[in-house]
Amino acid sequence: MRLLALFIAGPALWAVLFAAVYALHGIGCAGLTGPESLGGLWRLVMAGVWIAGLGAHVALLRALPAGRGGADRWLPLTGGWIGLGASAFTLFPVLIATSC
Amino acid sequence: MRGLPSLLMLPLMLAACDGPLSALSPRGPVAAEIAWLWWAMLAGAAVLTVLVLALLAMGFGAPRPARARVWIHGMGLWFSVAVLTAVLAAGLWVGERILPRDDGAVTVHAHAWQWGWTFTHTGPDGAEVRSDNLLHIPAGQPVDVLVTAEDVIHSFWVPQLAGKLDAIPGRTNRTRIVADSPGTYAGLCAEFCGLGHARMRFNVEAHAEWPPLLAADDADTADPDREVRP
Ligand SMILES: [Cu+2]
Repeated sequence: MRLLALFIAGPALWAVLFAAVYALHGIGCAGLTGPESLGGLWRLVMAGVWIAGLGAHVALLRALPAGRGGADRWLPLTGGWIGLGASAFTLFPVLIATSC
Repeated sequence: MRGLPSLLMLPLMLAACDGPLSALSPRGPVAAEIAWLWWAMLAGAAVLTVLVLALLAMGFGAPRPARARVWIHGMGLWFSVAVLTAVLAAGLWVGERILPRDDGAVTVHAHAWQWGWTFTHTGPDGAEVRSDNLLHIPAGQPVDVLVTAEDVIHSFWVPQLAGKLDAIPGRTNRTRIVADSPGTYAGLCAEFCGLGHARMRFNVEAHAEWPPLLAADDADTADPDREVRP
C-alpha cells in the first residue's frame, strides 16, 4: 500500500498542478481578459505556478525513500519521473499559447 | 491478393474526402491549415499504430530476444514522445495562425436557436441586414463571426472555410472564417442540440462585392423579435 502511494505520488502531483493551472487559465479568461490581462501578469502567474510545481516534482524525487532497494526504489522513482515529465510536457504551452 | 480488397476500397475512401461538408477539401487559408494538421495527426497516429502492431506481431511465434534498450526506451518511450511532441507542436502552430486578430476584419453575427440560424451583417446603407440560414460574407478576406445562442449549446461549422466554434447561451464567441473565392459553402450545427439538430444546416454565400446588394427576398430586416422558423 505504501509502495503504491509512493508510486502515484508523482502522477498525483501532476494532476493537482494541471488542475491548478487550468483553473487559473479559466479565471483569467472569464473574469479578466486572458493571459495578457494585468499587463501580461496573468501569464506570469500561470507560468510561476507551473515552474513552482516543477520544483515540487524535483523535491519529491529527492525525498523519495530508498527503501530496501529493488522495486522499493525504482517503482517510486519511475512514478516521480513520469509525473515530472507529464507536468513539463502538458503545461509548457502556458508560456507560448494565446488563449480565450 | 491480400492487398486487393483494400485497394478496391481506396477510391471509395478518397471519394469521401471531397464534398461540400468535407474539412479535407478546404476553400480558404484557415481551413487549409486545419486540413494539413488533420493529415499530420493521421500520419502520427499511423506511425504509432504501426509500432504497436509490430510489437503485437513480435508476441506471436517462438519467443525471441527483444532488447529493452531498443523496444522500451528507444521505440516505446522516446520515439512515441517524439511523435507526440511533433503533433503537439503542429497543433500549437496551427492554433496560433488561425486565431482572429485585431486587424479590422469584417464582422458578422451568427445566432443559433432550436433549430436554425439567424445571421446579421451590415448592409450597404449601414443598416443591419438579417437573413435566416444564409450567411453573407465577403470573399478573399478574413471575416470574424460572433457566435451566440438563444436556448441550448449549438456549434457553428463551415468545414471548407474554418473549424468549429460552440454557440453558448449568454456568451459571445469569436471565430475567423475565410473563403478564397466567391461561391456558396455548406455549414451545419456541429453540437447535438435536440430533435431538429440534423436539419440545422445553413449556407454561406461569399460575395466579390461587399457589402452585397441583395434582392428583397434574400434579406430580411423585419422585427428582430418575431419568431423565425425555416
Ligand atoms: Cu444546433
